[in-house]
Amino acid sequence: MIQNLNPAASIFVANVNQATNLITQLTNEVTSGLKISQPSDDPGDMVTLMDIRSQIDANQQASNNLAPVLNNTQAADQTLQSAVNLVSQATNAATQAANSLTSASQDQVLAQQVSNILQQLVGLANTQVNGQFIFSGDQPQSASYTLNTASPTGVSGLIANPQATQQIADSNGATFPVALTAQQIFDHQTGGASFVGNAVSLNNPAITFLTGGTQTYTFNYVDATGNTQSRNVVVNGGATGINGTTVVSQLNAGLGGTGITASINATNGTVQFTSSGAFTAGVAAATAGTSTVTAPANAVNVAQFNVQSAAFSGAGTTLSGADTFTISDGTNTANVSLGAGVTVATAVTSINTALKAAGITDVSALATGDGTAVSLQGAKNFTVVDTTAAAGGASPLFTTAGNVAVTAGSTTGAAAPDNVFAAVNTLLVGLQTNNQAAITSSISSLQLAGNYLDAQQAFYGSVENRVQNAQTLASQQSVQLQTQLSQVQDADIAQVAVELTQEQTQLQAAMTAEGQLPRTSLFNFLG
Amino acid sequence: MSGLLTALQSSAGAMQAFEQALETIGNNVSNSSTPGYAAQTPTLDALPFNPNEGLPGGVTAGVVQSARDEFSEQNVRQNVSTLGTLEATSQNLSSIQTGFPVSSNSGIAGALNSLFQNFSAWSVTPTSVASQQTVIDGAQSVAQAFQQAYAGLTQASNNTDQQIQQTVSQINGYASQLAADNQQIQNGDRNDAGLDAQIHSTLENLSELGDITATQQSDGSWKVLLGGQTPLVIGSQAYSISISVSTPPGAPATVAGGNPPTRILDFQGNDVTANISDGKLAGYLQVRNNVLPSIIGGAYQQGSLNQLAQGVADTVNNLLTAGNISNGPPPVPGIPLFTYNAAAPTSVASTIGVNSAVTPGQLAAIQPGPPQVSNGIALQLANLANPTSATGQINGLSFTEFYGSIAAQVGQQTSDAQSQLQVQQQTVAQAQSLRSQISGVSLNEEAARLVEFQNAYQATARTVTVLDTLTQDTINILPVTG
Repeated sequence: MIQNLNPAASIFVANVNQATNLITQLTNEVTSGLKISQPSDDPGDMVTLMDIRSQIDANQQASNNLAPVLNNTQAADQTLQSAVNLVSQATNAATQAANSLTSASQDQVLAQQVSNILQQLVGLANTQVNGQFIFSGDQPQSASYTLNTASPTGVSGLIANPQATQQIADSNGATFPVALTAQQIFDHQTGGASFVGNAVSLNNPAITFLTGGTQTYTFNYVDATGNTQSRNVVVNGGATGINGTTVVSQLNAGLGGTGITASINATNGTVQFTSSGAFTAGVAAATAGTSTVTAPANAVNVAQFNVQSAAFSGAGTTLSGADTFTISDGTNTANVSLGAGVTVATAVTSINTALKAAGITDVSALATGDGTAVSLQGAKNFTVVDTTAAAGGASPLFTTAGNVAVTAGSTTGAAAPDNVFAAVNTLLVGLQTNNQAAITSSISSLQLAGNYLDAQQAFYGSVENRVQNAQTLASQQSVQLQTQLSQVQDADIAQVAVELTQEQTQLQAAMTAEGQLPRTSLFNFLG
Repeated sequence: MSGLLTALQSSAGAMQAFEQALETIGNNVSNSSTPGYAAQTPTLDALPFNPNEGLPGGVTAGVVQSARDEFSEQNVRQNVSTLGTLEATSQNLSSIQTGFPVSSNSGIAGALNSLFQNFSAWSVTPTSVASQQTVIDGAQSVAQAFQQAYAGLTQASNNTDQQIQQTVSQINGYASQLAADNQQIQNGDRNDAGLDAQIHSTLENLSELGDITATQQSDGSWKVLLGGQTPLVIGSQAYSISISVSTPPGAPATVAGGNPPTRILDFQGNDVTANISDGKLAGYLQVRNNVLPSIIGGAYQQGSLNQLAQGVADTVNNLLTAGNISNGPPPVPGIPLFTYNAAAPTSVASTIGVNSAVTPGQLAAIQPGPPQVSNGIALQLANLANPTSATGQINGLSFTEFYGSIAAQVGQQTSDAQSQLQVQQQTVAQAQSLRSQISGVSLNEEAARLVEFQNAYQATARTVTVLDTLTQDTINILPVTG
């Protein structure tokens, strides 16, 4: 609007407004301590500010997360130390019992001690921290083991398929595992394969096998160079037949160099095989005499993650229709296409070629023991997706009801030589039955078990170190991030105070000057 | 004798001229504070003087001259228009940016950070009902934060619509007033300084609302155009503008459910929105049709707030549904945590909520793998705070950074408007000062002029007195008869 006032007045007002706005802003900065209280204060730093705040919160939470993990890890470490001590006590008991001078009554006293040790070990396996079973892996609300004198290991697992897959993340998002299962610690399993449906017990000394006959076992396995191999082992009963122990001896003799070991299952007495690598086993019918296996039967190494295809149902055990599927280990994916009429052997070769080409080295294809299907086995979990099945193909090899993706299941196996429960229980049973040979043999098992516990304790030691390193990292990052936040967000109080004083002085001077301007005009001097 | 009488008559005329000059000065002083008033300068015209030929001379009042300078008037109007734009945008953007709190960990950013912390805490105790419930509560807070921000911005949009409506009404009111003033001019009041002041005051008020072009016609009336093209006033006729909240016929909406723009129509219904580039109306339109739709969406864009809400919901849902609640058998796949109206992309921020089917036991923490990780999904969700891959990013920014970019966009526009506003206030003050120097009333000048005409009047009056004395003397010379 046109104002016929002193022209300088409107400019003065505009200047005063500007100065007042600046003083208001500076006052806000001084009182809040922040130079950013709204986006317009520093739009260029908004993204950075939000990012730093987010990182601070995430870092704080990561730090908070580490405390209970460290607590659990330290508790686990102490628990395993207790377990090592108990196994040491058991070893001492075994050594004492192995002394030929000990009497049966003394063995019973020792047996009571060892029984208590086993009971304490079970208690340690079920250690709780803040209501959580720290050795129950992914099912921390459940106890892992209970005593079971009927079991070869003296205990029974309470969790089916126990796994400890939980991980913790540090401030940089790097993750690492934090726990082991009680099975991994106290009930170490080794790779094993048993014939499905086999009910023939080899540990009955009253039975004579293969009198006047033979029986051929077929093993497909992966050798040290990663190539698929096959081995036939013929068990010969001779004219008078052989007992179960001899059957196993002949098998192990024939399996030399394969990495596969035959043994008798302690629970049901059937023949079983173990190996650290992938393998399948099959058995033909006995030519004469009592069969060592309920034949025909197949076995795969269930200590490996494994998936078995459907049987090749075409003529001559070939693929009845073309099939396409992928195998993924989570990092790489192999694409496999098999045409109709492909044999199992060709399919195995094609799959292994595709796996190597895709860089998947932990998974291998093997023909099943009876040669009618393909067994995929891996040291790590993997997934098979049959796209033929997805497209409604006629003969998909890898499907489950309603699904086209098959994820390899968990691993199971037999008690390993360093199995803690088994070693202690073997001693316990030996003491209870006054079996001097069992007592003596348990000493080496207990020593192996003690060493194994040491190794598991080392795992927790390494976790403890990683958690402590992660805590240090979080602490360092917290300081760094707070510094960055302060640089972006906080006002320089000293500088702002100086600016505020300057601005107030200038405003006061302007006001004073304006107030001292003459307010008279010529009219004031007219008569 | 006749010469004396002629001189008396001439002096009387001079006194009359001086009286008119003094009236003009008095009027100037009286209107020294009147909006739109320009100083009037009295002029005197000398009369022919040649006594030999009987021309007595003297003075008469000339045309009163106005100090009005149309260039300085136009300069003021242009700057006032720009000031209006900046005032409108600054005021509204300042209000809008309060919806983006950044001084503390509050609002959407705070809720998101809390949710990511909840995810992180859940990863430590993935089977804990308390941890899972905290995650659900955190998701609820995120949804509420989005809803509140959207509601606040929608309210801002509605308020701006009201401001546009009020501005249009004011423009139409001023146009009607100018049309009436033009009628007076055409009726013969062209030289009325008061009417002139009223017209210029109205034009300046109008220029604050819109970028007008005012030109004086040969008959003295004023022609006023909005945006250089749209007639507001021609002669004694005012042409009203109006509002339409709709998409233009030739540019249908490209985003379903998007709020259409607010358009300005001329008296014939033509869309003249694009021509309005200054004044408060332009500022309001800028906020209503550009700034707010870029955040909450409109007929042609989803809006960054909806984009963020959908990004958060989709990412969290995708991760959860890729995970397993339990391994079974059979494995139980995860279910979405968030829901929103996918059919209305511009309403995601207002419709986002927590899936009512989700209970603590139905959050999928297990990453099936391979390798399987029992808290893998929870860890991935926690990692959304600082994602290292495209998952959890929008345009290469994390969710909180993207929120920061929205706040930065509003903040930058607000900061620019506020800075420019301060400069423009100075510019307007200078333009007004310049105009005042040219056409304003100077009391000192008026006082000096008053003294000048007072002296002239007194001198003339003294002349009349002398002439009167002489005339009396002359009359007294005459013999008295009878």
